[in-house]
Amino acid sequence: MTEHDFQNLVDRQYVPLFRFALSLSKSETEAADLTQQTFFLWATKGDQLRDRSKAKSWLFTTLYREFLSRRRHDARFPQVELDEAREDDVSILPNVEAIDGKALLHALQDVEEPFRASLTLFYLEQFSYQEIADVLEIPIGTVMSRLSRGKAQLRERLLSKGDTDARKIVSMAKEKRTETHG
Amino acid sequence: MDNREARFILSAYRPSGQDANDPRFGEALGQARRDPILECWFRESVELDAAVTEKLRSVCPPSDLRESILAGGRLSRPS
Repeated sequence: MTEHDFQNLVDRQYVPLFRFALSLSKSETEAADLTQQTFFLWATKGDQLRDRSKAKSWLFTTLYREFLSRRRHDARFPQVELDEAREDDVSILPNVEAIDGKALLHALQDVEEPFRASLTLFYLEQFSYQEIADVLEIPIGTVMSRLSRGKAQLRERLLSKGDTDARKIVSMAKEKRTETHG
Repeated sequence: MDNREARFILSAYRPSGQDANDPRFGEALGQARRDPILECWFRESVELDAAVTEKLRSVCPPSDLRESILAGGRLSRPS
């Protein structure tokens, strides 16, 4: 791998990698460190990857593994039961236009793992559900479940941050009645 | 497929439409076209996802991060 190749890869991927790391770690300093560490690992081991088209997935997977490794024994990140988030109970959508990027990031950081990693990869819009499954090394059904439940958590977090006037009523209660009665 | 299952699947549909031809979404998308209530939910959901994506793109890394990575990468690469 030439220095030119390395620089091209950094230029393409360091910003989305940093955003992913920031959503996971909640700390700009740690996010920058995770991003650097990931590229340094690539610099030392990247030549072992035969299929260079998978470099992007390799970087995101490596960053996520590094994050999990650092958090493995951290009591601040307990395992979350998937049933805790209920995607079908949300009847109000936040007005995201009224929220700045920093507040949105904080809301995303409040979403619990393991939902947050899938959600961030989805919103970075670089990965399909299949690619998210590959990066996080989980089944497709788990990705869809985490996206569905993670979005419900994010909406709750955004609503809790927002002004009542900025909320938008969506008639999902009506939908439920319609489904029930035919 | 009921609307609950369709919503579950459509939650993974990316807002810019890259998944429009993915057969895994086909049935759920078809149901959203036929059911006005599901269609309304889907439209609102995609709009929210697009807005979140846009806001997330405004988050920038520290100004010196790129140079730090490049400098550290030079030291880390096998000689």
